[in-house]
Amino acid sequence: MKAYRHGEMVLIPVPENLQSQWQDLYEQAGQKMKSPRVIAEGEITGHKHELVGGQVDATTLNEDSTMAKGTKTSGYVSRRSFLRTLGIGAIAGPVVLLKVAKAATLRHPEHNALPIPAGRYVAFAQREYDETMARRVVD
Amino acid sequence: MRLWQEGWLTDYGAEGEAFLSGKANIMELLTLKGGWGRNRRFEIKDGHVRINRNGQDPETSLTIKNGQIVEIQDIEHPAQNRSARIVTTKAWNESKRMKTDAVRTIQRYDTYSNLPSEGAFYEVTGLRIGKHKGTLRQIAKRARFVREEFLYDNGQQAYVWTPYRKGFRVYRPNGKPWMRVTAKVRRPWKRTQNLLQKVQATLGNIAGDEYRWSDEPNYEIRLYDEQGRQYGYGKIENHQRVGLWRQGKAKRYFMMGIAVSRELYYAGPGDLDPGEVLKTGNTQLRAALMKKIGPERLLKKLPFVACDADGDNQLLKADMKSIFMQDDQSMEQIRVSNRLDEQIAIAVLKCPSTGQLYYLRVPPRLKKVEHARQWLCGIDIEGVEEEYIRDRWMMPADAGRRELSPSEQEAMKNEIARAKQQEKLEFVTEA
Repeated sequence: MKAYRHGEMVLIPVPENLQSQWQDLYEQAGQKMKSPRVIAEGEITGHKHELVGGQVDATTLNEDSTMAKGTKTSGYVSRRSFLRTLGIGAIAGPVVLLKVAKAATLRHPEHNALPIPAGRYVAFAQREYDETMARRVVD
Repeated sequence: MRLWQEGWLTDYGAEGEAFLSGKANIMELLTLKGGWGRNRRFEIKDGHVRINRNGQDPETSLTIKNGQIVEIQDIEHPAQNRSARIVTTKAWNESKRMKTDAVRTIQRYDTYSNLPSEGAFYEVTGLRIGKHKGTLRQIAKRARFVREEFLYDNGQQAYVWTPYRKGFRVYRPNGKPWMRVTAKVRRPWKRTQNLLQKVQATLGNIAGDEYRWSDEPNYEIRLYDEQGRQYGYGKIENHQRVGLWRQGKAKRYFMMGIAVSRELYYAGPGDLDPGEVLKTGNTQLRAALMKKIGPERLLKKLPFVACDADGDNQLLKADMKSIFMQDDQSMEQIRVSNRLDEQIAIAVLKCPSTGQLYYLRVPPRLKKVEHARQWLCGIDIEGVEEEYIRDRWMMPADAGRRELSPSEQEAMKNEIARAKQQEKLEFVTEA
């Protein structure tokens, strides 16, 4: 499984066999993000992880995200089960389903620019260990 | 000037824009597209100019006498009957009726390729820096943007910005310095008013959030009072605000881009308790405070042991009781699910872009830095790597090492075989 890391953000390209599940989740997640290019905002630094150029669309799955229909074989898919199939454990905070129709560049004032090829991605912030739960890394 | 009469533009397959030049107030024609007349500028004394934007409505026709536009006609074709024409005629004086401070746009260009060969291509009058009015101009040369300038109404230059200068200065109407940014300012020409807004905002409040002036990693901003004395200062390092930012009496203190209290900013390495710092929720603040303490002092003050290292990255572990005091409230929340949870593990990871060290807590069961990196990125490494699966089977939480029965051994082998089939996380790029 390949991954792109940009500061605390992780972008994982969705493999071919999970594309239809991703699409179902994407369609059923409801409202698209108002500014899909900003996949994460700095909580106290105010620095954003922002996609520049290309063509981008995105939606957010919250922790209590709705169930998606899934494929004929997979049945209903939740955010948790989808991430589990992808090989990702418990993630705190929102997960962004990112559709990059044309290659874009991920920018942040502090980090080097990261070219993101066209494709479908799952993006989320790194987690951190806590005795009671895993929590999201914030900057 | 026969060439400029009605129909010329369309006859030559060109598109055009007509406008009044700044001071001369003479009608000029600038052709934008089309072969022969591409990006050329001509003065027009008498005649008609028809502006046809790819045949779309409204088509505009201008009547010019002695270099002045005297009449404007907007021609529209109703959707129901394209052969019909709706002509709106107005005298130039009527259309010029605007507020004193109104923005007058000569022409805005979206790309470099459409710029005129020479001269001002964007001009706005009635704008202000502070309470002083002036005119903003953007100027092209050889069809390229070369500079943006702001002139006060008294003729004094407020600023000139060119793409290649190492610094940017703003002057007062009396010629004394007002602001200085010691960095290449990112190109603002597309959104020229953004640069002016940035000037206005910075002059107004440097202690606020209007600090991003450049894509350069390191730069400084200085403000000067009417006597030319410095009264405001701010510094950017590694794209982050650092140190004391002040404007007059207003002061803010920054560490790695985070505003902190004066006490915290001036606290020495010995004044900070590493145990408390490790409990800080925000990773950026934790990294900033740890930077102050220093990795060597951390290892000296707390009984951390480096279990694994990979270049600058390290995995540190220590007994939790030695880090957190027994009477600490946070200890009560800790669910000690197995013996290893009595340990605390910290992955010290270096950011490939900024070179800063981040201190992130990971499960104490992890044994390698690479495993810690994978876990932070969401991979439950304990279910993927063979050594953790073996540990889980052979060293359960409530007991020491034990022998497995044949059926348990079989189950463990199956789990390991399944884990080996799982795809491992591989970082394509990190920044």
